[in-house]
Amino acid sequence: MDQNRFSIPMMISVLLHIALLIAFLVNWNFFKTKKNEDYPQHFVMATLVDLKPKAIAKPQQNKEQNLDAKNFEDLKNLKKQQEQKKKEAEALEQKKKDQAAKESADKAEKLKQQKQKEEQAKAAKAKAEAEKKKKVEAEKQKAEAELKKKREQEAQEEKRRQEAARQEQEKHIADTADDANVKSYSELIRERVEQNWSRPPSARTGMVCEFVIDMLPNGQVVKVTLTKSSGNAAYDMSAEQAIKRVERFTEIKDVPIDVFEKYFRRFKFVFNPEDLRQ
Amino acid sequence: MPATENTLSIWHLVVNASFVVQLVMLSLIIASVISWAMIFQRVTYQRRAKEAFTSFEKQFWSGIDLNQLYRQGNGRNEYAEGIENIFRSGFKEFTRLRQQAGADSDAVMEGCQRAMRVALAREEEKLEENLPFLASVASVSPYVGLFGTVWGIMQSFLSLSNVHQTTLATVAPGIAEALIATAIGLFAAIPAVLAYNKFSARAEALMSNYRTFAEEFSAILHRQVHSK
Repeated sequence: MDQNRFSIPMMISVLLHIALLIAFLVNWNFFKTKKNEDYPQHFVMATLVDLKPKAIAKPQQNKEQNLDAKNFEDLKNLKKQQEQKKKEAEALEQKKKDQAAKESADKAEKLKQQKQKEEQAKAAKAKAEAEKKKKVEAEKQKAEAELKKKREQEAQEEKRRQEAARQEQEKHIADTADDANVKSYSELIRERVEQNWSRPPSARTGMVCEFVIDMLPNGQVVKVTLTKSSGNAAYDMSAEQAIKRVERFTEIKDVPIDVFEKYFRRFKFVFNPEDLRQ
Repeated sequence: MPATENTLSIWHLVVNASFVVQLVMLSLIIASVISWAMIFQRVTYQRRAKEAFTSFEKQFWSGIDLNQLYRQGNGRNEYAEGIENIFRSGFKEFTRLRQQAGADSDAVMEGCQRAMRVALAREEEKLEENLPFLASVASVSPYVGLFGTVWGIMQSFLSLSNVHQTTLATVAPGIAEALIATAIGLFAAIPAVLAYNKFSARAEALMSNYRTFAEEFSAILHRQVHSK
């Protein structure tokens, strides 16, 4: 009796624990689903704008490896395809024109032959008339030839125009590429500064300060001047320290010299880190 | 809800926990099982003792002859529990001493009171059996759980030192896993605390009932001894 004292309570206890465990394992997601219902999910749809990849494609040829090589390859292919298409369209147009000219020439030939036949048949008829006709024929041919020439000229003009348009487009691409480049490099600079930044406890979101960074083409920082304070001296100081600590933005030496002169020689740097406390 | 969120379930955390944390969890679960077994055992035992006390007291004060009451207990096969045990040991000693020839009344009273004291002590022991275990589970298991948590967090921070890009996601599973140990510790401790308090209070109440009864009973015996 004394030994059996604990057998029933033990059984009840073990059963209770097993039941609890099962309840936990099966229903654990219950809590989560309930919570999720309170927060409706927001979907953000992002569409890739066509201009941007085009823009980045060209300057990436001489850029550092950390920009995506595969992406660049794709873009290159895309551009090639576009050019090819354009060329094909041109060729097709040319072909069409040639064909038209040839057809008209054929027609004229046929007409001529017929007329000659008629002439032969009507040899007896007045030679003068025939000569006249011949003259008319010649004139006609001449006119046709002129027409053809004119058409060719037009075609050439068209070609030239298209070429000009293409060049213009390429120029546009190059310009926007510069913009994108500048953007990506300033992003890199920002990243580097943030990495070297030791945030003061008083830093809060929404604090923005602006600097002008004077740089050498190799990325060496020569001078840092605060142009717009955030209103918090410690914050400004820490940002300036961070820039000075970076010392040399190694990525900058990959920037084409013209772009560097235009944008980075005196670089306006807005320091606005996003992952701060409220 | 995406299916990936389900991966961080309790079960995964427990299975993937480090060995020490798993050991802590296991010991805490065992402690919880045992303490619950003791809780059930105590509940049934104390309830039975209380019922026995009320029914016996009713019978005792109903004016029944004490010899008859004693014989009634003899006829029962079961082992006497609680209050009846005290009555029987006292009465047995009383009759035995009175049958002896030259025993004076004070010696008889003293002897039967001593017998009842012994029986009382035994009953007290029975009532408070297992309560020390509940008390130690109640006080120790939070610490054991905390140890598991501290160990788990320590491990997760140690593994963090090798990672360059530190995000919350790399630390979160380790800390969650570690916190489960504390959860289980509290899960074992809270019922044990409640049960310990309840059972010790009830045992105290029953013991004071027993003592009152013993005094009353010895008063009756005293009257019998000195009435001669």
